[in-house]
Amino acid sequence: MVQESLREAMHEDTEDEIERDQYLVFSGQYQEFGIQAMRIQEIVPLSGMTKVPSAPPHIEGILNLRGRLVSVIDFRKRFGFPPKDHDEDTRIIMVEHHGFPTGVIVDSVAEVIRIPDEKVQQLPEYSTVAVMEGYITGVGMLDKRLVILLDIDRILSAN
Amino acid sequence: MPERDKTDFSQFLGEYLADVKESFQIMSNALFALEKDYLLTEPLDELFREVHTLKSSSSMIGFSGVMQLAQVVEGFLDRLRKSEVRVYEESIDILFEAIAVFEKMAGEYAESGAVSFETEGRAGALRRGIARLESREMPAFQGIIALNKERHIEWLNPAAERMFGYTSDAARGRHVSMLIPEPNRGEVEQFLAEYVEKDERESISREVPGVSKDGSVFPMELSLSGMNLPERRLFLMIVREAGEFKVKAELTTAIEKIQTIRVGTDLLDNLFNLVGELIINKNRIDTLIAPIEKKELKSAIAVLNRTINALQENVSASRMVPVDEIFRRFPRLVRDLAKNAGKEVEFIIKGGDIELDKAMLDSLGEPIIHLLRNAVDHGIREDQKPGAIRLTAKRAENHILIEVEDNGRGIDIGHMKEIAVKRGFIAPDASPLMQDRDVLNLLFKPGFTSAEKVTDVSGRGVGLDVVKTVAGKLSGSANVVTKKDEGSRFTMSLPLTTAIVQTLLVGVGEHIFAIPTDIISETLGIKREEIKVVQDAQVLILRDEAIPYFELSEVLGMNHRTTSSESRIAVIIARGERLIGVGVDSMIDQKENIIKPLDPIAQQFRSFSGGTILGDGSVALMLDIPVLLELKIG
Repeated sequence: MVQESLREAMHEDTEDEIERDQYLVFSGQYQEFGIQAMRIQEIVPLSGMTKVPSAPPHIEGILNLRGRLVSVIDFRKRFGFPPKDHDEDTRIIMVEHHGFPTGVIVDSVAEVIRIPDEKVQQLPEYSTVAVMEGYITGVGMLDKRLVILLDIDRILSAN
Repeated sequence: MPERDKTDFSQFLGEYLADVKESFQIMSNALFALEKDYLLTEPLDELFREVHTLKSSSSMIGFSGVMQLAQVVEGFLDRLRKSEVRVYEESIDILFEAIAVFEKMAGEYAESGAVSFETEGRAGALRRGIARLESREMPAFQGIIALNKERHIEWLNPAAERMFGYTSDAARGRHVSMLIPEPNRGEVEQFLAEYVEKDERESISREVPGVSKDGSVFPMELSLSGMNLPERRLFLMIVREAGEFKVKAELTTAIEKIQTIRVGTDLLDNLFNLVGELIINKNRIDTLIAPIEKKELKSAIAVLNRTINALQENVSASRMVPVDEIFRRFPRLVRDLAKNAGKEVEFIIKGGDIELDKAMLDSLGEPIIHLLRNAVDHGIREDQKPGAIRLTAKRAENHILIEVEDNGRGIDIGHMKEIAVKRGFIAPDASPLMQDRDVLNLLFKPGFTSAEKVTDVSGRGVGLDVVKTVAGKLSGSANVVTKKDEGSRFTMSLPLTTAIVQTLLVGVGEHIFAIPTDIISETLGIKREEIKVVQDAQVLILRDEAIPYFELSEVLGMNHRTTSSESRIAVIIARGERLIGVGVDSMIDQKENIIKPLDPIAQQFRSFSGGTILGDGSVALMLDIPVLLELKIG
């Protein structure tokens, strides 16, 4: 029994190791953003939400996710990006936040990729991301691609 | 049996026999009590003590057979009382048999100095029975039988010795098939042979019957695995009893004693959530079939509804625990508080058997402590010898009332007003106009303290606001009544269950909100012109009385304009003894709804205490009316 649980723990550990440098990449405002894949619970298409009166504008509403009430925020509005109509590519990323799923509406979801630590750079001087300062953990520099890695907890916590 | 010198202890024999006779009686009574309720721990403790004493006294007088058996039974009882092994009907039978065998043995020793062959046999069967019951749940008590390639027994571990009744030495070299009863022998032998021949690395297990030395057959779960020794390979047969033992199914007892069952609260929460899902889907179906005129369908749905309601009630009941679970901690607390304050207090608890939802009860501890501390420090006077504090739980319709009452000095409302003005809680000119109950409500404000002396032990401005906050979180309310020199009574009124609440669904613009019905005194349709403006505030005339009136849209800060021609629905909220009208566009439905918690982000909007899922799958937010009114009128 001990061996079994040990094996299990080790197995989980390795899984963490693998996933820590995997990121879900989504696009918004002509660039790509990444959230640690291990924090993503699921990705769901846009569906009806209940508006919350007098909530800040970036709070899109509350969604019924299989019986759980989930707050959904709009990524564009959160950072004051110009609004864009929702279309068939629009998705809600369900992120684990303080033990609850929280939804983030994004323009579209691209893929899950691995960005090893050695390819993650500190933030360069870069105009579009200035408003996001403090919410970025780094920038993944890949061949011909640049992915802005987000500190999702800070984004969801602060108003 | 070894020879025993009778004369040595003969003078003690009479005493021993009288003692054990009494002990057997106590043990039987304890067993009868246990048989009525398997979850009781007291009878097991009592049995354990008696058997332990029997073991010592038998050892002293030299009745080694009784002593050895008592040791086995004592160990078994210890595991039962520590809940390492569950109590089954078979366990009770075995313990009754143990008493009978003890009695027989003691009698035979006294008579002839030895135990008869027959009784010895019964004792052996008893040991094996206990070993099997223990092996079923404790890995440490599983039997291990080592086999060689030819399936001959190499050795038995002590647990296997007990289960099968052979010593390891007696079994060595014999074929394993002797542990399998005749009709299954061939089949099991083939299974073993295949495993050994293939020399699998993985262990396998299956259920097979086993037979012990005395011929009794029992189901066992047998796991096989290989073990490499330096010179050869051994095969280990790990055996545990696999019988379906009967757990006495007395639901009523189980529910009454729920606090003693160890069920993970996760499990209860899961069950509760599943029932919630079921109700949501039921409501969805209700909505869908409403237009369908089909009698059979409707009656089938009606039956389904009844079943779901019964299920819901049962699941809710399984979460109920008596308030005594927390009340019993308080006598000590009150004693200590009184001692520290140099006061004499008689503390009375009533209604400890009233039951509340576990989650609700957990959050009540803190506010009750604050109320008790308040009663000791501010209620009871030094010259009262003793003063009385009464903590009561009682049912009132759909609510549970938790009251903390003292017969002390009462609250000086005039003095409270002075403090309130001094600390800026009320404007000086408003003070004379304030009604007593509004002044008293200030007690529940954060930061307000009525302490006469600021240095007072409990007058640090923390405390009573928690009473109101917790009551509000649980969809309840808190109030206080007091009379000078007669005492005060603080009451928390709580709904029976928090999570399933009767709600009124109301519409404002395109929004639907839920309001718990227990705070609604009535609803009425009104015309716009019935709302008057008095000193910049809207009032509604209700039976010749002007009550404050607000549009819900306005309280929530929504951009929802109601046209003046519109007829309104006024939801009259009872807040303590005050009535307040809240205007909405429409009334949609009234039904039982599962209130779901909001996530941390939505919890920031204090106007809502939860949400509920409507028949069409959409979410309606539940209004936190006390908070809303607090924000609006203080």
